[in-house]
Amino acid sequence: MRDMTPRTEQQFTETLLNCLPGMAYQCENNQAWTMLVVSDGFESLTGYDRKALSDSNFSWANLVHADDIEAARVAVNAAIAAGEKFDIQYRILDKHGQEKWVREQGHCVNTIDTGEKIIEGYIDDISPIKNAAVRIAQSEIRRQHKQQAHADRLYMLGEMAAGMAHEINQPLTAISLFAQTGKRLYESGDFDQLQEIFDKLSRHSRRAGAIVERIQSMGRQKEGIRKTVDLNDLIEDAVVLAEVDARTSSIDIELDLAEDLPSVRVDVVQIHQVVLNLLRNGIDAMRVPGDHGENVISVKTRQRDDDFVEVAVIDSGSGVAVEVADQLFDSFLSTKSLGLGMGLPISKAIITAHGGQLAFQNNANQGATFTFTLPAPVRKGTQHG
Amino acid sequence: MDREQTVFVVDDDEGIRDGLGMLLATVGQPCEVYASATEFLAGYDPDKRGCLVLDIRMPRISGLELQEKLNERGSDLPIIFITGHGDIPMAVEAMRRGALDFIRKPFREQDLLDRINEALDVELVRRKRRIEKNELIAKIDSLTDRERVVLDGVADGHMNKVIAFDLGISERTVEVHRANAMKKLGVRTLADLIRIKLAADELKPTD
Repeated sequence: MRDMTPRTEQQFTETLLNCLPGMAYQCENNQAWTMLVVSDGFESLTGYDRKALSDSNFSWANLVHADDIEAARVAVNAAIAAGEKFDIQYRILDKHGQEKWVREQGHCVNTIDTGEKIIEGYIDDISPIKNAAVRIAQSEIRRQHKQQAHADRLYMLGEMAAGMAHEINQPLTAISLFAQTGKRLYESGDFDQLQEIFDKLSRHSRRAGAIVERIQSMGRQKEGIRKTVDLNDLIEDAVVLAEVDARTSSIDIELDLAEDLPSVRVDVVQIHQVVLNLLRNGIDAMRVPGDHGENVISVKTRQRDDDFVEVAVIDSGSGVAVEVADQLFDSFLSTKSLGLGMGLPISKAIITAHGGQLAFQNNANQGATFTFTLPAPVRKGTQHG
Repeated sequence: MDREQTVFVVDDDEGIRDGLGMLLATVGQPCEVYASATEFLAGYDPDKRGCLVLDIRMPRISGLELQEKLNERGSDLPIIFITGHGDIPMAVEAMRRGALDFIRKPFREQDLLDRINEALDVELVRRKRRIEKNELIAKIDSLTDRERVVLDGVADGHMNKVIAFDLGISERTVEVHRANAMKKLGVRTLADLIRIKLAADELKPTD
């Protein structure tokens, strides 16, 4: 049965306001924004009972987030002064201390009876929309980081490809020389040396094949898989890749690898990337014209007392300038014209993800030392993974 | 090919070194191979003639650095650089510093042999010029101070008696100095004398 009782306009308005998801209100135009009338939405929005309003200490302004109250006040007062409506967004803390984003639309009116200025309006919970926006922004940042890491890797792969091309060109040049020499010998009827020529042709073909093999095995390494490996072997593999770069700059890479190191459980591709990155940085630093003393980069490994192994890459280059030292591991800090500025931040992220630490210090005499640690609690010989 | 000329190969890659050595031996070209710039410099003798075939990328001392060291020692051995992929900027720098040519790996052996022959020809010309220059210097050095002063006067177009007056000696003495100087320099005419004087003057600033 329908309730057919005649209804006043005021009753109708009340029903309507109480059905709104948010909170309709009238409040005093004072510092506290003391609520005079609120709709039922007040309770679900704030978590407080309607009775809380009778407490003289209760004020809407107290619910507003401390960081947002100032801006909200300025916006509301400006609208009132201009005789306009306001439409603002800010955060409140509900009864349970939970943070909510709200949108408040309102305007200032004069009461009929006293002519006093009061504020009327509507406040709605927009947290779901806001949170979704934040999530989208966060995933965008994650996506960008991923993209940067990818770009950095591509850049490095490009450099490595150039190095590999050079490496393969060496045996090919030798093969070409032997083949052409052999042809000359054959044409002149001098067959004595042909046997030797053929041996050399085959030897250098195998050499080229071995280089291709090495590239392929690197390509097969899948990222994201951790394997238990010998740290020294890992370092040696990475150094081979950096050597082409080093040779071009007439720099020697010296290895000082501690014996009997415990195995480490790592993502081989990623640690390669870190070692290569540190070596390349060192080479670049030593490429800067100036006196570098000896043109040597050393890579040292050692067992620390605290169940960690340590890898140090020591160069005698230009060192790290004081003004950039603080931001060295920040993204996009690059002093190089070609650099993306992502090498060190990515390296740091990789080492941190492995439970180690990446740090640097300028050497007393010249250059810088970059050191990273990896957890290695298992002694060699006691267990194999 | 000039038998006295040697091709010096400096390359750290054993295969390329070996291949170049065999190729040059096959065409009867004397050659010496070195695995590093240091090795080459240790056996460096400025009297050895020929040309250098140099790998531009080498550990420790690169091809460019060896070129610089040889330049410092006043070597005029023509240099052919062997370059790889992406070495063009280095090759340009090498040419700027006086390299004769560069060739990219891998190359046709005839291309390299042609360049080597060209380099050896260049070296012959450079050597001939150097010998002439040394002879000229020796001749000029054999002149007495007085003969040289007389020669300067003659070259400046002064008459014997003017020179005699300037130096406070007899015209007859000037004639004797002049005749001796021409004999020592091996010239018969005034034109030859002036020519050789000009060549000697050109040498002076570089000495």
